[in-house]
Amino acid sequence: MAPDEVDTRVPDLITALINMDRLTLREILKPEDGTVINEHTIDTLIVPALDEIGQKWEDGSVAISQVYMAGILIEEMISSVIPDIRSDEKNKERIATVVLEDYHMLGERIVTAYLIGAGYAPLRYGRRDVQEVLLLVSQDNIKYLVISTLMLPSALRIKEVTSGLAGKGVKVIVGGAPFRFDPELGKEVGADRVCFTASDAVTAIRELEAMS
Amino acid sequence: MTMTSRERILTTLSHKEPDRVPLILNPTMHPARDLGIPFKEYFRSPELVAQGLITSREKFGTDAYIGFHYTPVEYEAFGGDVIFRDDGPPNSGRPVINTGEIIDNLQVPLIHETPCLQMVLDMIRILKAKSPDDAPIFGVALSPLSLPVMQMGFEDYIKLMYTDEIRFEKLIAINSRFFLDWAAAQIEAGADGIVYYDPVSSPTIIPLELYRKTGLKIAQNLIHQVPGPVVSAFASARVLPILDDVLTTGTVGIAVWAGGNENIKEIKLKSTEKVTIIGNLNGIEMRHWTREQAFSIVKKTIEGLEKGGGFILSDTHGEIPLQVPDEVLYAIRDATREYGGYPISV
Repeated sequence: MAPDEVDTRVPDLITALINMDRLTLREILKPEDGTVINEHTIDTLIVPALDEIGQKWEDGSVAISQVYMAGILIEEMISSVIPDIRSDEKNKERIATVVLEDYHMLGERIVTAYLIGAGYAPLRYGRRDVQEVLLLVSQDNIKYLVISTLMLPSALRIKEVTSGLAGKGVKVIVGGAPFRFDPELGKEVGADRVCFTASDAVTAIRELEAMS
Repeated sequence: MTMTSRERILTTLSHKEPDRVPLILNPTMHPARDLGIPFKEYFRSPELVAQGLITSREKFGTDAYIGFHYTPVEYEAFGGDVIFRDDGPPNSGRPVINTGEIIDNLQVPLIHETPCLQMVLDMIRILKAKSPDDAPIFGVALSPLSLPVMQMGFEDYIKLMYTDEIRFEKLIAINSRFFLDWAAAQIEAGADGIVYYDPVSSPTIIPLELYRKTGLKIAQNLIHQVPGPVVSAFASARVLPILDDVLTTGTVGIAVWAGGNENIKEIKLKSTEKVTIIGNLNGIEMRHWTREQAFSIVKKTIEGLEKGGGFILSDTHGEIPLQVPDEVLYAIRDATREYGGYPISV
């Protein structure tokens, strides 16, 4: 996106999200002059703000609790202000998020909120094992599968998912602690993209969409 | 003169130079794999875990025993179900606190009436009795601020922190009483010190201002009440932004990640003669290391950190993944002996 296409209210939105300031958030996203959230607002305001928050987590200037609350607040706004966004152009290709084997759901929850904030409508599979994931992806005709893991053994089992999906046109996007500590792990398990922040998942899907 | 492991650890904790840099590795699952015993059976046996720790020390040259069975043992004491798997450490299952009313009525588990805690205490007693030398034993206790991640699940816990101060304080009070009982019981059983496992206090997890209202005050209140030395561990999360605060808690050591985003030499410099720094080999990445890489990384890690003692070489998380080959751990042991001898000349 060109710099002049980024909304000037991005810094204010970031501050409101990090401070969990619902009032300011509503003023920014639904101002009294009648402007409403639409595709343009998402692309020029919300996604850049979420991306910046992801970068701030990466550089250590915000904490995961703030990243989480920012995602939840954006999800609330999107859902309440424009509930019909889920039928738009962005959701022709189906997206699912899943936690593979672990019981630690926070990463998947944040990614889902950020995807919703970016106008997507991911299916949430919750905690699943490899066979369940393969069955669900096939049944639901998923195009982009976002997998979150916390533990190394679970991350390694993604290889069974990518093998099971080989040649079926499904793009696998992965993230979680093990991938932060081993830059080679994504390649090892056959992932199409590795994410280090929640907003990376939005970027990854956009890039993969552009390539397809 | 060659020191014993106890002398080596105590000397470096006193900010003096021992005979060589101490090494702590904790490959919890490797002994069960070698014995061909399912993890569920192994980790439920105080005898097997104690023997496994002794065997690992003999094989890999670690200078201290980390006397614990699995991370979610305290969650289990509060009624949680531990999930065992055959390729990784036991993990916590579903949260045990899913309504506010459960916090209102939560009771502190009694150590002597809780089988999973007695299991760990039995292991420490066996280890103390059977260990062929005097290597120190460190018990492990989760901080009151970090235990709720397993008790409640991370998502609900974050919401609690931000939205229900009264119940948050209730939960912290209960967990604090439990922490003190649990830490004291491990010391009484034979542990020489306690690892205070507190990842939630890291600025990776909560913002600095929230840490200063919560994790810092909790640590300042509790650590000095433990009847033994306490080492603070942050589970691969950032520590540098809170380092000055952590130094005020009474801890004698800090286990750090300090990977690409933090400078461990800066952490060591700020901590000189205040606390011992423990770290920071990448336990995830070391699966791939060759012997040559292990030597190179150990050499680079030790360089500049060892001066004046106050440094223990270890991994970043306190538990070596099962997928790390023995050969890598042997290489780390050998490299520590080659490059870690004082005076250091790497």
